[in-house]
Amino acid sequence: MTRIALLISAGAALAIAMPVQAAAPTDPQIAHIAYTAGNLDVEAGKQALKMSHNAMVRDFAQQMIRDHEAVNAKALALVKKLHVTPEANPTSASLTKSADAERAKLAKLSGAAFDRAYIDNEVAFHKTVNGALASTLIPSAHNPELKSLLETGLTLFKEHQMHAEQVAAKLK
Amino acid sequence: MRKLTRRRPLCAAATGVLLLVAVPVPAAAATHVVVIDKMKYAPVPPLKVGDTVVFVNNDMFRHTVTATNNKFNIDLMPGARGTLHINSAGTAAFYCKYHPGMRGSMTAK
Repeated sequence: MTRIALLISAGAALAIAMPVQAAAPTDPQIAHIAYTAGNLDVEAGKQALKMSHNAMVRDFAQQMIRDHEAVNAKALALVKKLHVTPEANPTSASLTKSADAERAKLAKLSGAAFDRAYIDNEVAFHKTVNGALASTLIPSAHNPELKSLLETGLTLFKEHQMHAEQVAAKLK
Repeated sequence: MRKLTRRRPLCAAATGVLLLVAVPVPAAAATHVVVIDKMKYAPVPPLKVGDTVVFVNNDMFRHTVTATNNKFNIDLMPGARGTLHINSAGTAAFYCKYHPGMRGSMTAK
C-alpha cells in the first residue's frame, strides 16, 4: 500500500504537517493537492506584501504570487479540458490547516521577525511540497498532461526553494 | 508618402534593455527562433555576426534572457517575444533573473 511520503525536515516540521494517505492518490486528488499548495503559497505571498517592507522579501513574495497563480491557472484549464473535478482529500485539508495556523502565527510578527519567519516557512513549505511531488504525486499521476504539469511545477518549485534559501541566508 | 526605411531596433515585447544594439544586417544574416518552455531555454544554434535571435516565451511564467555579464536583458511575459541582434563574435552566457537555475549560452563567429 503506497502512502504519501512526508518528507518533512526537522526545521519544517513545525511549519507544515503533511498527513499520510492510505492509498496512492488519484488524479483528481493530486490536482486538488497541487492546486491547494499553490493557492496557499499565493495567500502567504499576499500576507507578506501586506506585512513586509523589505524589498528582497517583497520581490520574492511577488514572484511566488505570479508563478503560483500561473501554474494554478494552467491546472484549472487542464482539469476543465479533461473533465476532471478536483477532489478534496485529507492531504489538501491538512495543508490548508497548517497554512492557516502559520498565517495566524505570522500575523503576530512584524519587521525583521516577520521577514525571517515568512522566508523560513517558504523554505520549509517548498521543501515539503517538492518532496511530495517527487516521491508520490508525480509517480502516482496517470494522465500524461497532468504529470507533465506537475513535472514543470517541480522544476519551478525547486527554483523557489533555492531562491527562498538564498533570501533566508541574506536575512541572517 | 515618404517610405520608411529605418528598421525597428527592438521587438516591442521585449521590455528589457538590449545592449547589443541593432546593426545593419548583411544579406546572409539569419533569424533563429529560440523557444522558452517548461522552465527551459531551447538550445541556441551556432550564430554568425549579423544574425538575429528571437526568444519566444511559450511558458506560463515570466522569464528573462539576461546576460551573466549584464550586456543584455530581455524581460518576457508569457507569450511575449524579444529580439537580440548579434553584432560581435564571442560567447555569451545567459540566465533567467526570476529562475536562476535556467541557463543557456550562445556563440557567434
